[in-house]
Amino acid sequence: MTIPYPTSQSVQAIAPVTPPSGAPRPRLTFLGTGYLGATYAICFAELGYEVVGFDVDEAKIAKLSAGSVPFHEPGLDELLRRNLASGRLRFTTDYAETAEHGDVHFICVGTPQRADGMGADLSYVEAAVSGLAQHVTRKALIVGKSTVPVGTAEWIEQLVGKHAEPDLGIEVAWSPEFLQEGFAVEDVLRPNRIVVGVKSDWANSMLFAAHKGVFDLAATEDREVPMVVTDFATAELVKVAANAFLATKISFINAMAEVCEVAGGDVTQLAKAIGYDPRIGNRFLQAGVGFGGGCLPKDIRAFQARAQELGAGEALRFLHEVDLINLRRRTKVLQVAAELLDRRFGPAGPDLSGTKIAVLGATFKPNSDDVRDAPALAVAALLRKAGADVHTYDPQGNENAARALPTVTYEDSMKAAVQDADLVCVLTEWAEFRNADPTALGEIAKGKKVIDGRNCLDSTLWTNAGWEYRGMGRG
Amino acid sequence: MNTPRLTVIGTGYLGATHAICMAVLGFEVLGVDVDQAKIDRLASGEVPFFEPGLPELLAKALESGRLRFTTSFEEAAAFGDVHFICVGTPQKQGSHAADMTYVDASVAALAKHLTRKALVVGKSTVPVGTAARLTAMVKELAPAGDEIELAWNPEFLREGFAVEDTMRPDRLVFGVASAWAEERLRAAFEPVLAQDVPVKVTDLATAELVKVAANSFLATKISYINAMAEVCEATGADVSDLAEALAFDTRIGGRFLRPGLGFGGGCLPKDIRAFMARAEELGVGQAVGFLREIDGINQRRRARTVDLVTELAGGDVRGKKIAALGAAFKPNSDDIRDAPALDVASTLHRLGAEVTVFDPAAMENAKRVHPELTYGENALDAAAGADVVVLLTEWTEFREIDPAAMAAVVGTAAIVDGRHALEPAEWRAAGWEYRALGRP
Repeated sequence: MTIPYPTSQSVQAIAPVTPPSGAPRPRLTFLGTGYLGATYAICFAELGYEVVGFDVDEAKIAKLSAGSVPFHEPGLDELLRRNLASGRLRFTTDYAETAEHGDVHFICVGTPQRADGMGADLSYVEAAVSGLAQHVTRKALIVGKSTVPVGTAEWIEQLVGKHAEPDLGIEVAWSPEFLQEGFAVEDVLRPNRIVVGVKSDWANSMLFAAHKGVFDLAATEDREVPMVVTDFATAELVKVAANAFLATKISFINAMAEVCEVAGGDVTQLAKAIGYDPRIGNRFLQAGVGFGGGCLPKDIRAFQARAQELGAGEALRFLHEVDLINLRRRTKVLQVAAELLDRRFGPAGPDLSGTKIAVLGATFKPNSDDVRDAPALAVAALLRKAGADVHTYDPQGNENAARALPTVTYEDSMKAAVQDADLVCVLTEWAEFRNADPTALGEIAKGKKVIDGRNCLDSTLWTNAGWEYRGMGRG
Repeated sequence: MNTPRLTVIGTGYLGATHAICMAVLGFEVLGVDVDQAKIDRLASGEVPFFEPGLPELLAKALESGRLRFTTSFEEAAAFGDVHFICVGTPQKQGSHAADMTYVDASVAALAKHLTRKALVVGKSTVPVGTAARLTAMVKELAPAGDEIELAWNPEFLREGFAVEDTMRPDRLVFGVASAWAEERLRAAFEPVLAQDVPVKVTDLATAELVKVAANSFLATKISYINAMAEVCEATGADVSDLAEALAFDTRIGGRFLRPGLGFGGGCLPKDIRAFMARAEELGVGQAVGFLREIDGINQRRRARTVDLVTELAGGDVRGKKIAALGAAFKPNSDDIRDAPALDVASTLHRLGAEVTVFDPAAMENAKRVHPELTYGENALDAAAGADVVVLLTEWTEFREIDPAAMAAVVGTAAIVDGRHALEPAEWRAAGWEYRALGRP
């Protein structure tokens, strides 16, 4: 099982091409300036490319043009201002301007879960591609970056064929993104690989030129960025397959937590013991309240939906189990809360009325203000629904959380949330919570009971400070 | 404290390897088995299974005088300070659960003779809760009663690398109920620990779960990439490129991410089934329900391989000559327990093909279980006149086959690479029709 993979294509082997605009290096556009598009646009300007960021949302474009990043991502603000000032980066809501500028157009719009099912909603992709294609007046490369169902690249080719002049020879390619929120700048500037799905040498060469800044940066730092060149379908699958694996790994250890809870084991020790095995590795092996966010949950659902359509639904049925394990962790917190507060867990859940619960964390992970499908927020909602008086604090996510879940109280500090609480639930592993002083918090809380939904606290420290401590999957 | 004298109860794959390696590391070791024939073979210096490096170490250990074998539990009890239980826990007939007969019988047989303080250490892969049950049993049966303690120290041997894994493991796990037990285990692994091997000390239940959790993860990782292969087959994508692209993500890693015919052997399949059975008993069957899918994906790979061979054989294998390269469940092993390779070969035979098998190490074992198949002298001999060649175990010697030389002896140059072990471009250039799972 340790056969080395054949080495990936040597990037030097790719022939240079002249960009259709005549510029020395391809001019880039990024359509969609959400989290993905804005980060890429800013970072590629930083790498020296002439970049245009496009969005239909005027407010967002105005904000970005004024030098303000509309979401929390460490280091990005400074890069935005620097590259606006250099003149390499600008933003527009005009398709014609975007089409005129770009040699390579990256499609970075969102692909949320459809309201009517598990599949991905491709309407933003469709709007962006057709809007752009109508205005393109010379040869160009349109590159999909969004996470999409396999087969989308072929469909985009057809869309382009419908909306653009056929003799322009516009080509399509796929190059999935692998950003981790909180590390996005680093992931764009110093990726651990670049994957491209192409149909022609020209597209391959253009994509190489469009990433040359990444390779050059790597060369100056004595690193190598491997480039995997493959077909459309494989390139599309890479992102969703990677997310499916990560979701599976998280749910795997959470399933072990479920077993530990009944067998009297300790999943944190279990994870440590199996994580030493290099075939397993300790990354993404922390048991807790599970995954959330704008990617993993929707991606694994869309993946199942697409596999069903293709007649291979059987292959991905395990992802349904992965999803269920993940969602059960949220209910588990509610169960433990009822136990700690001595409330019966009836058929309709527990009655927590009259209790005050501090929920620390609202974002789906630390170093982010993203609350999409956040386990922390979902648990806060469950506790609230059970009648508890919930006081939430998150270092970055309060504002977004208040919009998504207005029924709980938001506090400006950890102390304010914990004040007089009967129970404290730590649900996002922010450093501020991990490093909190249990003695100080014990003085202001009413009941010294804590649920460590991320197994991120030092249980001995908290127990010694007089807290009744409960982790996830710890006997 | 003094260096403990060790006994190793059960001298199968796990026990023999442990006994031999511990003696080489300097301990006085007594190997115990109820099978007189096995004991005689070992005592005369013969390792009854294939494992690189082990026969040399057995000779060395016997020569040193530190390693002896016996069938007497009374002798074992009198000799040992730390007793390792290394007997098998196969899948129970007609059920997914583990068969605990051998563990229970050997612990009981030993306990009856334990008249002084001793540590009994389980190494076998068992359902969680076994250690607690055995603790009660030992205390009741042993004349020394409460003086006897139980600990759990799961093994992590990989066949083909068992010596290395015993002498220099990635980690040691000690499941203990007392500081004394931990101290005894540290003493019993002193030379291993001296190499800075990390040790995880934990409770009995967690230690029992470690092995089955690790195997469940590995099975999941293999079936995950094979599920991706199924999706690739439906979309025309290439799972080999996909795996390569995924492997660059350090959170995923390339190990055990090789698509192919799937897992087999005496551990992974039975361990994940026993885990499901035990979780059901504990009322958390839903937690590991995904393992049923993992098992299903794995089994479907075998069927898919048969389908690919059938396709290359023109839609019907009846009367066709098929060369099956590989019988062991993995390379560097003669183990054919639940081997995907033999499963595919015997299915093709049942469908009417004339199947000729060759495996560098597992021929004897394979012949015993599947006498109906024909066996070749070597890879080229097995391939002589074949309509389709199918590579089923990724032995190095198969990966190094010269495609032109093999093309010269086959009837039709058509190959199914069931392990993604060959370079497709090379084989196609030599005139072969090359097919692999999950590749266009």
